[in-house]
Amino acid sequence: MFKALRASLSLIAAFTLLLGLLYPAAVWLIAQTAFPHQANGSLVSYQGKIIGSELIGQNFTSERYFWPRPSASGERPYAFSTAGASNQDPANPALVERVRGRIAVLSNAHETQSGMIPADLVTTSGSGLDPHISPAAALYQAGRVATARRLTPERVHALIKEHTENKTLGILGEPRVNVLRINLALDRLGGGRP
Amino acid sequence: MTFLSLPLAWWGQLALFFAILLIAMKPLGLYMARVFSGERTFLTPLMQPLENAIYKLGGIDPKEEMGWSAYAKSFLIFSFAEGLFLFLALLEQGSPSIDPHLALNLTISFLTGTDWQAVAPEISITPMTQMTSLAVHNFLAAATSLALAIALTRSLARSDAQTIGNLWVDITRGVLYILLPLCFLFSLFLVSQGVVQTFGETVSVTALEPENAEHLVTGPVASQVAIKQIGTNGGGYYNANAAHPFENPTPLSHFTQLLAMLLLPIALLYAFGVMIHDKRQSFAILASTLLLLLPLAFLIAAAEQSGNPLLNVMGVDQTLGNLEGKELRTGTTGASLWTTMTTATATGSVDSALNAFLPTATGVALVLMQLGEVLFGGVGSGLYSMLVYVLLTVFLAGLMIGRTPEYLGKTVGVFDMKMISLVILLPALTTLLGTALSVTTAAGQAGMTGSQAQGLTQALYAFSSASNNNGSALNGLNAASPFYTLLLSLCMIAGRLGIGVAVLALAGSLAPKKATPVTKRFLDTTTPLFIVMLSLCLLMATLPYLPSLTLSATYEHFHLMAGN
Repeated sequence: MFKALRASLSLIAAFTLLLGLLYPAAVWLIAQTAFPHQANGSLVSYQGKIIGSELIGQNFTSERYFWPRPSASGERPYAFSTAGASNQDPANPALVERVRGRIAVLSNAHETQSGMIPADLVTTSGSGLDPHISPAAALYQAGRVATARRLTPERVHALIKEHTENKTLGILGEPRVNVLRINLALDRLGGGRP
Repeated sequence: MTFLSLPLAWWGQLALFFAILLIAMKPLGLYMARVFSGERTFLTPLMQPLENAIYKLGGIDPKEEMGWSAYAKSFLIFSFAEGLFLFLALLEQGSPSIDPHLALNLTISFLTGTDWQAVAPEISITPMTQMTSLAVHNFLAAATSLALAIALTRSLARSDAQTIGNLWVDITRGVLYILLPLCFLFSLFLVSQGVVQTFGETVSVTALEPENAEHLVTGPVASQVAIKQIGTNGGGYYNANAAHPFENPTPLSHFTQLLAMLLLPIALLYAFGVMIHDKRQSFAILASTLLLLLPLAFLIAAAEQSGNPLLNVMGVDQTLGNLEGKELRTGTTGASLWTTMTTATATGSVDSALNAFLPTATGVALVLMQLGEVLFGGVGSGLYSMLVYVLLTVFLAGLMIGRTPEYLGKTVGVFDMKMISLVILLPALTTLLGTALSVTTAAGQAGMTGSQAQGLTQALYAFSSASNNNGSALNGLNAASPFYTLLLSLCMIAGRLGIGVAVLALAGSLAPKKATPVTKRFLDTTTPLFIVMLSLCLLMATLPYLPSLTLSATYEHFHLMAGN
């Protein structure tokens, strides 16, 4: 009994030191040396300010920007500290209502679009922070953004194509457009700034 | 649901996934067998000084072997000591603070490798506590589980033996030679993909639309995610778990984390074959596992790919599947595969909102957990639970053909059958009792959301997850009330300590038996017939859940279809 207790406490103490301090510190040291950009959150700067992380989605409501997916983050859309999912099951009336409301908003803002609405534009993601939309969702919004910025539709389409990331190895993930990056590219182009 | 309804990408992922695992299983399995046989490995020069220092500190004689009762006693005392450390660390972490009943729930959850989290960790637990307590016990939970599986393996490999190894040595070697090196390399890869690794910094970002300015909180995430996946623990640094971009930023980080869940369970299966000097047994178990796992994986993927029928009629283009609760960098294909593997392996980490999955998919995930985490299962726990089923199948087959049931030349006796029954029935008992209490009491009902059938699914899921030490959650359930934290804690303890002691008792009973040389007279446990029978025995174990599955997931499925 005493022997087992001593062994237990020794193992816990030794491993807390090794696995709880030395291991993460070693990872930290190498990470900060070899991959400082990634290790600190893949931050994006613009005009001298840190405007966000390329991994963390942010909300956009202006018609001059591409809009992200809806977000179920607790506090407000894309709030980092309350990141999470809607957790509504497929038959939940609240889900159906929410999607219906979203479709109405989207159709209103994109009157020239008559086709189906890409699912990612009406569904919330698992984290509430999904930084991407599908290329179809970007194309759906292209007309509105082009009009608001007084750009040609071809220019906006080219921008979407340029910002589309394909499936990794041809099979992993979905083709996607990073919303912050493409919106930043729009701002860099200038055009239609109010 | 036809085969064609699944995109090629899903088949590609599945093929690549198992191709990599099958290639890795042999070298890693051989290496693990060497580690647990106390042999020299290429890491010995680096790790031996550390190993010896730990033995010296603990007054451990690495050459001393334990009988099953000493092994079990040490296991219980070690678990208790871990629990005390964790509980105090969580209570005394300062600001933010958590209620004692939640701290107890978290303690038991991490101690048992369940990693059920009733609180949002990034809000309620300090980066320091996550790093120095939760992550450490993720390692230890996995190493302890590994030790138990190895002890059972030894009892089958040895003949006429009184001992089954030394718990302290097994845990220490498991951490130093297997878990730590793998996690170290994996966390560096994860950082290269964008998983953060700081000591808890907050970055203020201005955002392009000023009203969306944010404070991004980072922390020692990569080092924790590595063990969370490799140790099949599943507890996230963030509440959103593997859906959070800082835990799982790219398709490649997703796929490698998926691989990490199965890497050790599959390699351990090979190590088992090496240690009993009969690798055909490993492949027989592997075949049985895949026979069940692949159709279930297909069911989840096919259900999710078909999308939500209620959205189809609203003019929503669901070519990409049921996207509610899923991230685009993961996709429906990736999330389906992840959900299959996370429930099959007792990991319980989630890359998407399980509650938003279609009822068929949720039902299959439930079955995967209720199988007792044996389809590869958790690190260690998967193997020992699977071996219990193998012995059960041997026993049943023996009865059918009128011969003494024998596995690897060892007779399966009355005491063994008692322990086997205990291991199989205990989780079913705690799952169903817990679910029954939840749906019949006001305190239980208070935590449920959605329809009544959905509430039943949520409770059934929570208790299946806790009793089988999985840790994944449907999240529709509010499990932070004392009713759920305490009841689920009991289930987790039964699922870990109860089953652990029963497995060790089984090992203690098998080790002294003389292994008679296997001849043609015996039932061959590597034939296709036995493989199929083992799969059927596994399926049979889900029978106690059939009534509740019918009332929950099956009901929901028809309800959803009717609403279409």
